Amino acid sequence: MTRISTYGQMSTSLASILRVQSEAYKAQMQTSTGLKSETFQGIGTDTGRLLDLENQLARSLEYVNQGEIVSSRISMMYDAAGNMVDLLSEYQSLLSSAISGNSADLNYQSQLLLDSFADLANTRLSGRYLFAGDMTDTMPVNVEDPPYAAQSYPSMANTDYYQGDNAAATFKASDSKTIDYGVTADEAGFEQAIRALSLGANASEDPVDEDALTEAYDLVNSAIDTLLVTQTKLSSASSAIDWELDVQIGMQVRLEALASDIQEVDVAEAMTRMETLQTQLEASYSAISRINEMNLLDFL
Amino acid sequence: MDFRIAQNAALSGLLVTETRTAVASTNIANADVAGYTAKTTTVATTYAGGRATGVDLTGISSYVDENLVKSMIEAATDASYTEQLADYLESLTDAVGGTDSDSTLANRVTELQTALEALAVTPESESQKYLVVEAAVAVAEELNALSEKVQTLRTNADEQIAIAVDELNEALEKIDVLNQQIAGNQALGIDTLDLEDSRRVALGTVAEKLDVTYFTTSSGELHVYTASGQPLVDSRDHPLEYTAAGVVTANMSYPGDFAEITLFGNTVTTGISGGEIGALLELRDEILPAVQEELDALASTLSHELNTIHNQGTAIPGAASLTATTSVDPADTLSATGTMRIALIDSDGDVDTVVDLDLSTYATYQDLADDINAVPGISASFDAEGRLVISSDDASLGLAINEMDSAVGAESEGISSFFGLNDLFDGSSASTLRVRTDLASDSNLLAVATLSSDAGLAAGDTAVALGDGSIADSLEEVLASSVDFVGAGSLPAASTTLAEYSSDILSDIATRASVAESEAEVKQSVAEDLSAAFSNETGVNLDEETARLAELENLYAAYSHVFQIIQEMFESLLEAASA
Repeated sequence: MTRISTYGQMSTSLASILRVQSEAYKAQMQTSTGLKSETFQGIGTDTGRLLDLENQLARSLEYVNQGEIVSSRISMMYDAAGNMVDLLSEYQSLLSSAISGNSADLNYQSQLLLDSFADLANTRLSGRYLFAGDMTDTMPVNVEDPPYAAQSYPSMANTDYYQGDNAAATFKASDSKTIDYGVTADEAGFEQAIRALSLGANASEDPVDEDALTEAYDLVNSAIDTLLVTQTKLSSASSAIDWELDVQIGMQVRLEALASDIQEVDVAEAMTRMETLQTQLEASYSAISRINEMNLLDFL
Repeated sequence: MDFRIAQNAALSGLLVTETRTAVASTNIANADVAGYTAKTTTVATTYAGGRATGVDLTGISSYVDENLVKSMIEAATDASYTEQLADYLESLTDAVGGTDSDSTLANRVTELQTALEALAVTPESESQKYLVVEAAVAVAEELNALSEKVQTLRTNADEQIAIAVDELNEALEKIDVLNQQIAGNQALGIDTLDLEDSRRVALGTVAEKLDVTYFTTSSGELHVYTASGQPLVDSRDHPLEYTAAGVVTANMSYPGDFAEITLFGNTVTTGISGGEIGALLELRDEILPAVQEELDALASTLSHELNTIHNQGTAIPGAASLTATTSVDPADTLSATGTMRIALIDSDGDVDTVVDLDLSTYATYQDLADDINAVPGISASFDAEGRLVISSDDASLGLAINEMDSAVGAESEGISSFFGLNDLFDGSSASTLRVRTDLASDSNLLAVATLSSDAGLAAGDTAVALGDGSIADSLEEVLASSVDFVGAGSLPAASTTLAEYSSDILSDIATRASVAESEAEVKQSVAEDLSAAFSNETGVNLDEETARLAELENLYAAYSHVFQIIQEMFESLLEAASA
């Protein structure tokens, strides 16, 4: 262009200055907030990805929270089963001793052990019974008579003591994995143990009812085996959950990194840009004032 | 006689210089007026009998490149159009939430999902039920808020159209007035350049409002037409008419609910596609309604999917009463198959009364209600609007329904789902979506468990276990699974999760806003460049005028001096003659 107009030139210079000012302000906001943009407009097409990442992260955090709650339940159930096995071993000694003639306190001792076993089966965590299926507010095992009649030789499988239901507890550990961890007190191991204890609590002490005690002894063996298997099952469930939790935690780190890539700005880069823009702004202010000073009138 | 010629020549020079000074001074005075073109004078030698006798002003002109003007006008229309779109879409994106907030619509849908996950693990937790209901309320509120924002923007756009039309009409009138003056002056041979400058500015204002074509007639009038050929200014101005609709709601659409923009009673609305008015029409009638459609699709799908599951469930304790959301005419035929189970349960979750009803045995809805009513302890009837109301007569017993294998109506819905007896959400559009009122205020009404479907269920049996979280599980499942969405707005039909669909909506909004902003920047830049080019070609340069003034000053001094000398010569002659 070979000529400019005074007004036109002034407007154009002002417009450029305002533009640089606006860019400098944006860079300043980025530096102080650490975000590329405060609204999604500045992120534009990455909005969908960012939100999906945030959602996945939120779900992952919840999986870990809930995983920890379920892990503690499993842990209590595992301990209870372990204590039951110990209790049953003690009972076996009692039975052996009774069979070989020392049956003085058999009923009394057996009843104590039966009540203790029932207590273990009625283990609670945070107010919910762990072995009652979905009926978490109901004591699963009641060995009073009624409902549970005294057992005698020969006995048959009897779950009249059981007050819960048979819903199996499951835990959704991730978007794609569900883990079974439920154990209910009407399962074979519990049933056999309780029956065996009831046999001992009600068998004749004098003379010793060898058939009843032998049956009880065999039942206890079977019960111990089954309870050990239950423990293994619980232990696997717990490991599975731990493994999932690790996966989730690892994923959370990656998700956070991806989200922050989209959302956040490199502060050093933003500060550099801001400084560059500030310099540019200063230069334009200087230029515009110089040009305004140049006036033909001064020279005439 | 040559003295006279000399005097006349000097005089003509003086007069011309005066005019040229006036022109230069006017230029300087108008240096910063937008649209003012610098005037230049053309002078030429006057002759008499083959000899030069002086100087005369032959014309005042300004150099205007009409092609540049045309480009400038078009650019102004584009810049105005994109600016409006960018402003409104930016405003809409602000309503979505900040990038570092956790409360966007998508976040809220996920929060509902995670709350349900926690409830599924500990179903008896009252505080967790409360959190689920709060999360559902939050989703509904966010949808309501976004929906309201969309409609508020439509209302603003509509109001702004009316204002823009008024501004347009003012500019059209101005062009008309100037047309008369210019045509008149041209006929009389009077200079019209300044009037033309004003008229060009008015044309610029018109172009900002809508896309126009124009041409200048041989008599000097500027005729302006809309892009689709309707005259805005010809021999007189033709103002547009538009009345704003007041508050705009989601169910108002164009045409029908909005007045037309008319010219002489003819509709021009569809013929306007550029400029401020074009942008506002597009926002009001296409862009914003598309966003509303997307929000509505989310709301209705969320409502439908979650309600279907919630209707399969039972709260613990059971509900004191269940009211349908669907109205029917009780006398109409009930077309249903399968059985339903209805029970009264006590506070322990045990059965007090349980009845299975074979739905294929009922002829009308009233027959069904009568049979339910016949169950001891349960009352059932239709209210004045035809909604089924079932209630428990005993305050200590609550209602529970298991849909069993019931299939009612054209879509074979479960009985509870069909009537909407136990909905989670009321309303199925983004502006009307609410959590059911009684559920919102009492989170214990949240259906978490399922009434037992055991064949021999009888009084005293367990109806619902406190730790049964089957419904919470299913609700979470539905949020975690892909659901079918019909195409809505600019989102195509898809199978995706509800949370992902929410992100898609927000992404659509943000992308539109971002694209609009870039477009606006580009068009603004183009408009500025053209405006600057025009200004540089035609505008006033103060230094140029100052230099010219200095030159004119010298010329004036020279002419005056000539005059003075001739005058002195005359005096000498007279002196000599009188001596």
